[in-house]
Formats: sequence, structure tokens, C-alpha cells
Amino acid sequence: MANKQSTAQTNQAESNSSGLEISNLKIWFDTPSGPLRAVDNVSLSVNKGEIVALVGESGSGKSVTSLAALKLINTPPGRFVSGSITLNGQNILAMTEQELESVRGTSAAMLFQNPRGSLDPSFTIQEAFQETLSRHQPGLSPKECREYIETGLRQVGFNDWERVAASYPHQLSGGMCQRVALAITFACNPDLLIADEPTTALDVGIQAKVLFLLRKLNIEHDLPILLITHDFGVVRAIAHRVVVMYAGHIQEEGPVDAVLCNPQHPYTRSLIKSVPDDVGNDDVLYQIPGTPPDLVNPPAGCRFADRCELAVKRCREELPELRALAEDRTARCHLIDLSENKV
Amino acid sequence: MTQPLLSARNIHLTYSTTTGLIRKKNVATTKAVDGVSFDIYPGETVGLVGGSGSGKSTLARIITRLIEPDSGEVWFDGELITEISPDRMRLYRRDIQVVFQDPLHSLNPRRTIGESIARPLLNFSTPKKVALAKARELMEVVGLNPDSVSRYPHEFSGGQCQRIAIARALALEPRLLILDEPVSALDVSVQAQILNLLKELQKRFGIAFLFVSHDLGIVRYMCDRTLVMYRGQIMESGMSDDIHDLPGHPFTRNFIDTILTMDGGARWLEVASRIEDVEGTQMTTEGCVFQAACTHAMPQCRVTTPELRSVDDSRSVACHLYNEETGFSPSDLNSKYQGE
Repeated sequence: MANKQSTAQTNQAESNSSGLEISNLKIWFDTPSGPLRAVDNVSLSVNKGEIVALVGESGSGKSVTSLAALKLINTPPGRFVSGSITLNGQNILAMTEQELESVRGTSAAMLFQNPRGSLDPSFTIQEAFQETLSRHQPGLSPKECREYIETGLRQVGFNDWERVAASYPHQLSGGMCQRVALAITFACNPDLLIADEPTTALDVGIQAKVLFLLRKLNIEHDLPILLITHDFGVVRAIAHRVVVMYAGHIQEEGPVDAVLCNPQHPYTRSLIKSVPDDVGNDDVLYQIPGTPPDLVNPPAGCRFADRCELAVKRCREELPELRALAEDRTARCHLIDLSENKV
Repeated sequence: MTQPLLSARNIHLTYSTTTGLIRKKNVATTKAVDGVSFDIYPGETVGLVGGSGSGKSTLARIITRLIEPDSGEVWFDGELITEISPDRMRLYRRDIQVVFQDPLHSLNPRRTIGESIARPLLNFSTPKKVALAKARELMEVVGLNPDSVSRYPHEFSGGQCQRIAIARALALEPRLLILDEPVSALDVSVQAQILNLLKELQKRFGIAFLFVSHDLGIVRYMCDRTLVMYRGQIMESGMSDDIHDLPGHPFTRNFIDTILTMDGGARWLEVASRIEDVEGTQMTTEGCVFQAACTHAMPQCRVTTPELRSVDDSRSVACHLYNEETGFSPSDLNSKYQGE
């Protein structure tokens, strides 16, 4: 298969350390009232063959973190204050705009929430495909190009690929557009896929289909995926590890099963509790009191303290460190007793 | 039995796709709503579930007469509202209010939220002073600080905007509130707040809700009864818990299996591999609308469209598996799946 061959080629060119490595990243946005600390000391890694889910509410900094991985943040108003981002051993933050152009799409590709928005309405799917291919794999003959399109569309489940290739985006449903976007993204043989809420705009059946495809690509090509979502069902379905963000901080991280079945941070617990899964008709849904803090003047202590039912004086005064609970789990909370591993 | 507040009878609406700028040519027709009938009783919550393109939002717009159906009747409080003049319809607009999905877009950005909430009252010639006072009162009802009446929508978060939209819908003291995906644009934690608020409001004011959603989990939590739609038709109706626990139609069964839950069932994977381009296929004009994706499809399903018929006290299913001779029941369907 043409796809596989070139994946191998790209991999050879790269150094051994594949995947994404973000460490101590701080991104501030300058506002009239002062810098807004959108991402504060975030470290995370996505290794080969791994699906990592980044979970959080809107405003938690999860999308900013994912956009930063390809340096897609406008500066100004954004500002990379400190930290580093390495993609396949290459330092993203030190790159010039031209170098970045060659990295985007090839080393790491992005899949966005709104599938129709990522396809140009005045081009057919085939033309959109060709444009991407000519950008990333120049010198393909029309016949090879056609083969790429066929492989790509078949891979995402279109058996009638010729009809799809000849269609305009408006002639396809939202789910079909998202699968086309996935096929185009994947045609560039990325070493990493960043998927920002890829199924939020889709209904459950199509969501299942798209997630199924993501998992298939992950297994067949060892493709590392950074998945941004706010849906724990999605996390549970395909991710290996989960990172929970709140107000610019990572609050908890660990293997999916462990974190969802036995959440340690009070924030993770409250989030999980507020999902209307198996609640009786007369029960009141759990809701987290209060609102997220202002990140221009963040509180001195834990950023969740004001909404936390368990908060004590220390939580409001001193920012807890992200501590290791077990070999592969960390959490940022004063109240977790390491000896018993319990809040 | 009390009289239904709203009855829809045999609603049909077909959209046609045309090509050509001047000489329009019909290339395809889509049956958005195809022979739908249902009732809503005073004070109850009815859920309307389905995937995108199932016609659920179109149906919600038809019963508010935002869209006129091709045929069919909508009765509200004993009057046939699909036949009455726009002037007379205006009176019913007080009784039927809508809350839409996108909270920020359903509020006018140039109006303060106080003006937005008071607008429906002003439309029905309430004096301005009274209307603004009522707006403050309503803000308190939906859990917002009344002192922020003179602020603009962009100053509020998505959840707060949805509260404002709900306050506006309540202003005229409606008897039926149509909620079209009211929480699907919101975060989980905010979603819980809005759902709790809606439940509390219903308890307090006794308003009937038509809750349109693609999330069966939320519908089950919110609604007494549920209607399941697919391609413009009602596939199944019944008590929400029954439908969730013991789906009767193969479509509902599929739909439930693709819901991703936190306990991580793996059924969705199996169902996802089966969902093959059904969305892209042209609809067959004959037989059941679900035949292409159904694992139980029989020769009969390709020929005749099944009627929605009652299978027990509260449940109706539109499927050939259920008829007088077979005596098939929802539990039979479920044991079939368990056996697989």
C-alpha cells in the first residue's frame, strides 16, 4: 500500500524519539487588564501508538495546549512564556514560520471539530485531496494521486469512493465530511494526529463510526493521537491515558480505566458525577457550584479550591504540586494522602 | 383521561432539492417528516430523540408553525392551529415558547439582556415598566443576578446565556415549552445546572416540555415519555425508562448501543463497524426506512412500511417483527441480542 511505504520513509528521516513531548509549557495572552494565564506549567507526552485524551471544560486551556503543539497560537496576543515542545525530537518553539510549514500536516496533523468548516465549499473532495497531496507529496502523477484518493477514502469506509470524490462538501453529511477530513489528514502520513473535539458536532451513530476509524488508524499504523474532548464516554471508548485540565493547570493524569473508575482529584470526581448516566428520574443531578476562576488574577492556592467541597485553608493559600500517586498517575491536590492513596 | 394540550396528527413535510438557476429541476425529495402523530398532555415532559437529519427539529418547528407542513393537523387546547389566521395564531404564541440550541445566537447582541427578556411582554402590550420589573423577577427565577439586567449577551458564559433564553421563554407564562437541544452546546458541568433548573421550573410552574435531543441519556433523565425518530418517522414511543432498558425497535437498539458510557461497554465498536454508509445511500421508497441497516430485516420489510402499533400498555413500535400473529415483545428482541 502506497500509504504504508511513505510512512516508513518519513519515519526513517526522523530521529528515534517519536511522539509529542510538552514540558512546563506556559502560554499567556495579553489582555488590557493584564496577562491571562491560559496554560500554566503543563507537561504531557504522547508516545508512539498511544491515544491520550485531554479533558476539560471550555476555558480550561485544552485547546490552547493542542494548538500550541503546532505553534498555531497568534503571537501577540499570545505569548510563549516558558517551556518546550518537542515533536519527533524537533524543537517546535525554535522553528521559523517556514520550517513550521513543513512540519504541519506532515509531522503532525490536526482534525477539527467542525468538519464542514475544514473543507472549502467551492472545491470537490477530489480537488481538496489533490491540493493537500501536491503540498505534501509534490511530484505525484495524476494516476498515483487517484490511487491515494482511493486508498484514503476506502480507509475511512467509503466503498463508493468515486461518488464521494466527485461531491462538494455540502452534498455530504456532517459525519461524511468529518471522515473525508480524516482521510485527507491521513493522506499526508502524519506522525501524530491532534484531534480537537472531532465528534462533538456529530450524532451518536456517526460519532461511533469516526471513533472506530481513529482507533483503527491508531492500531494499524501505530499512530499517536492527542484527543481533545469534554466527553468522558469518548475518553473511555478509545483513549489509553487521560489528562484532566482545569483553569490552565493539569489536575490529574493517568490510565483511563484507573482515572475514570477511581478518580483522585475532587475536580475529576465532580466532573464524572455531573454526567447524567444512570441517574433516577427524581434525583437532582450533581452540579459543581460556582464558576471557574479569572485567569488574569488567578487565586494563590489551588485553582479549584473555591468550587471544591473538601477545600481547607491550605488549599486557598498554597498551590499544590502535581504529585505522583503511583507509577503512572499524578494529581494536583493537597488532600490526597499518598500513604493511603485516597482523598 | 385528561385532554391533550397538543395533538399532532399525520404530519407530512417534504423538502425538494432543485438544480438550475432559472428553470428549477427537482433532483431529489427528502421526506423530513413522514406521517407523524403524537400527543402532549398538560405538565408532562415528552422527549423527541433521533440522529441528525431524523426530522426532530423540523417537527418541533412545525408544531410552533415556524414551518408550515405539507399536510396534517396540529391541535392546541382543542383548536386546530394549523388552519387559523396569523392574527389568531399570535395568541397561541404566548402559550408555546421555544428555547434553541445555541444560546449566544438566539439572543440579540445589541439588546441588553433585560430588554431581551422583556421583549415578549412588550410584544403583548405590557407597559414597559411592568415588563422590566418582570424581567428582573425572571432573572432571579433562573438563577441570575437581577442587577445585571443592563449587561449584554457577550458578557455572559454559554450556560448563563441559556438561562437568559429560558427566562425569556418563561416571560409569557407558556403552557408548552419546546426545548430544541437546550444543553448540547454546553459543558458537562453547566449542562447539569441547566437540566436541574428546567426540572425545578417544571415542578414550580407545571409547564409541559417537548425536549428535543440526540442524547438518550439526558432524555431518559428529563422525560416521562420518549418518541424515537428516524428519517422522518416515529420508530418507537413509550415510557423513557422502558425504552432505555428494553428498546423494542431494532433502530432504538442500535441507537442505544452506540451511546458511549463511562462504564465502557464495547458494543459500540461492533455497531460502528456495521454502520456502513447508510447515511449516504439514497432512501428506498418502499418498505421500512431502517431496512438497509437492520439486522432483522425480512422480505416483508422491503415491501411494506410498518405501521406504528401498540405492543403493550404504553409502548408503540413501527416494526414488522411485532404483529398479532407473532406476539413478539420488546423483551424478545433483547433476548435475541443477548443470545448473539
